[in-house]
Amino acid sequence: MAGLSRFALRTLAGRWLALLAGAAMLAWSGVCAAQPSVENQVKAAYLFKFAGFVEWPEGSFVRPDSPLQIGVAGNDGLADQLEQMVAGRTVGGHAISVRKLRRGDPLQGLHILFIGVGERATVIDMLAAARGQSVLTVSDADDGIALGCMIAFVVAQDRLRFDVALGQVNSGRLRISARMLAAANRVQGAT
Amino acid sequence: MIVRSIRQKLVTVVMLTTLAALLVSIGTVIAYDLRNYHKALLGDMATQAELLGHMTSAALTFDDARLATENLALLRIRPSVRAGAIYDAKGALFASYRARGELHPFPVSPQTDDLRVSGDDLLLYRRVVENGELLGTVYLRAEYTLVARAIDYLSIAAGVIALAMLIAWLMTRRLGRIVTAPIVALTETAREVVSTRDYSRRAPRISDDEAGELVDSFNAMLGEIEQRTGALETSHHAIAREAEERARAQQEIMDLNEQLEVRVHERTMQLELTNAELEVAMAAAKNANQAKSAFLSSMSHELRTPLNAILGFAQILTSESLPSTLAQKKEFAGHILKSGRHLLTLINEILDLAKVESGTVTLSMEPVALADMLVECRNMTEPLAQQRKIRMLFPDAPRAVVQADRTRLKQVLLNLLSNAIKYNRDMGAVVCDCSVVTANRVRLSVQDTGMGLRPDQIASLFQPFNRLGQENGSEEGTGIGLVVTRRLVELMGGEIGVSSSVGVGTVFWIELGLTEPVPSAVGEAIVLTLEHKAAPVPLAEHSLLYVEDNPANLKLVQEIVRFRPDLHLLTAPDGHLGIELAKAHLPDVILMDLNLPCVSGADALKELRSDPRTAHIPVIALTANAMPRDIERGLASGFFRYLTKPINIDEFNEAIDSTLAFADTRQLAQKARNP
Repeated sequence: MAGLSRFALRTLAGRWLALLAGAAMLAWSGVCAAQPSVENQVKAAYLFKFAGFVEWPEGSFVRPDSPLQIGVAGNDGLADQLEQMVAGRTVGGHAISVRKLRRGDPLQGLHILFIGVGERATVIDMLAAARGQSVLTVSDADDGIALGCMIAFVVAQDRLRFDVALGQVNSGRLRISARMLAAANRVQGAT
Repeated sequence: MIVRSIRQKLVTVVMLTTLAALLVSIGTVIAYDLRNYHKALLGDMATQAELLGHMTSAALTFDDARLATENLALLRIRPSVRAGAIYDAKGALFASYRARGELHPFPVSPQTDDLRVSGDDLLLYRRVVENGELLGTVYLRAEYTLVARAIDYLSIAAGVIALAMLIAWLMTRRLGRIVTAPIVALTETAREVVSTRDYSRRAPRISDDEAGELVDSFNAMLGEIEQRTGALETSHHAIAREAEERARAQQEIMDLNEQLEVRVHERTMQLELTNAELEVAMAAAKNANQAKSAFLSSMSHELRTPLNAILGFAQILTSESLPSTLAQKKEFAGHILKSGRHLLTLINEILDLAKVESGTVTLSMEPVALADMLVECRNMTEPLAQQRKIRMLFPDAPRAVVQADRTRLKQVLLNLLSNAIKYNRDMGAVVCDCSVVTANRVRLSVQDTGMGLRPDQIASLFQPFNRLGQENGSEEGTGIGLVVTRRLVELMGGEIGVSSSVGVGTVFWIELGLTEPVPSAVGEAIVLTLEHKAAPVPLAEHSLLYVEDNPANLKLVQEIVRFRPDLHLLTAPDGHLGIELAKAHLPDVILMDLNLPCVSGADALKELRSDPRTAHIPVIALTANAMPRDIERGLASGFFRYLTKPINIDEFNEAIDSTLAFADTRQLAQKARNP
């Protein structure tokens, strides 16, 4: 949350700077291994905050105080950031645990799965593994929604936004708060 | 003068009550509404802020100012919210909204949760907390129109109160009459009663409530007052009338007093006059008394004088020591006879005078022909005149008929004529004249040629026993005749007068009323007289019964009858014996005294008449009851003749003869009818 606050507190001059930085990020997209920490920080914060607007089906938590597990694949930096961010914080009474995932790692027990921009096959593979499970899948790939991701980060007007694919969400038996949907950049499958 | 009428008071009370109720109710409603408004506004704003915070939490979370602005823009539908803003967790302005025309600046930094009223604004800060984390703060500024609303309410309340008061006033004015009308009517009536004092008025009974009872009580009270006032007025009138009457009575008493004084004065005068008269009258009475005494002594003297002669000569006749010749005896008997007759005349005249004086004389007034009357008088007085060679001159058959009592008129004329003869000189003359004085008045005058009378003698002429100088005269007289004469004339409605000149003679005159003649009576009398004279009485042996208790009278009749050889006398001393003798002997004639012991003569007559054997016997009354009324009564009761004592022997014989003749005639007639 501290990152968001910083982001929001930018001055008019800072906005122009951020605009330039965004343009550079677009030029690097898809291939950049060492991503800027601000972007990771924002995304980590979004991941954490998504947990507050999503309801999982019953049985997703073994106990009422079972931790909410967030899996991060393809972006360790973000995982670190996230782990750092969620330390000591709870969402709906649940503590939060962060797992770094690799290709082929079981997705059992995950509630949120972030798949960073990486090998296209890995993304597809993990998404396929997550399909049918009640896991909120988030990706920052440009075509994340098309690949079958539930939420995809996008940058619009110099700000980090996200798209939501309700069809995927419904098939995962998840429910996303309308307030969050109101804040989404685009919502697909909305009837 | 009523300052505030009941109606006004009623209106005031109702208005005040209504005002109080309205104030309380409207005040309560306003207070309640304002409180509600306040609470609702606060609650509403809090809810708005909460909702806004909840809605914008995602926007804050995902740093979406556009979304937050859109959310804030929803406040458009609440115009009362003038401005809204969302600050982020750091206190920076994140999104804002201003209602149209709102220029108020936003606060630089948000405050903690707060809700306060600042002037006309309601300021609200509400923190947005999500998942235990502060996301930001919602700021709302809304119109807080409590005062304006209160002012509106107050104006509305004023209008409502005014309207309600108006309606209440109108209703009270109209409906108040239900309450006030009976009282107003009662008051009106009471005022009229007081002003007019007419207690007969009655208050109308309009309602059936306490006012109605009041009206009833009032009317009852009025009735009572009316009654009492009426009684009071009546008694007042009565008192006033009484006072008036008293005043009038007092006035009358005063008048009467005055009159009384006048009358007392008059009476005193009258009394003095009466006293004077009384003295005169007493003097007259004394005179009359003296006259009476004189009269009595005169009468005694006059009665004793003839008795002296009678008794004296009778003593000589009966005395054996005084022998007298037959011639002397005749002379003495003549004196006795003369004195007895004088005494009889005297007694008759005294009785006449007594009757005249006592007013017991009854006159039977009838037309009397003067011619007949004068003839009778002349026949009766001429023998006297001839004894003294006195000429008598009478008028020739005067035609006048006067209204008089025949007997009394004859008595008057005879008295005057006999006086004229008696007090005349020898060889004198008596002139009787008759002249009509006025149309209905005739004057009879008797003039003599005597010594005449002096004026003082004339003045005392009509006093009893006044013989005018003849007291010691040779002529015998009673001195009563003129007194009786004058009274009789006056009783017959006539006048008597005298004029005289000494030495020449005296004229006595009487005036009587003229009347129409009754010819038939005169004719009948003449016929009767003729009949009597025409019946000659044949002498025969007859029996005569005399019923008499007085032995002297019995002896007298026996002596008289002894001279009648044709009569056989039977005597009875009382009525019983007389009746028995009559029945036993059936006499031809009965002489009956009336005052008999046991059975009176009248009763004896009835007894005889009731017996058929004695009914036909004529009965002659022989009595001393010589009054004309007695004679009439006796004849009416059936006596054939009525003879008075003392007995005039000639008259007695005539009566016996005529009665016997009548009895014989009837007997002959009966014999002729029943042979």
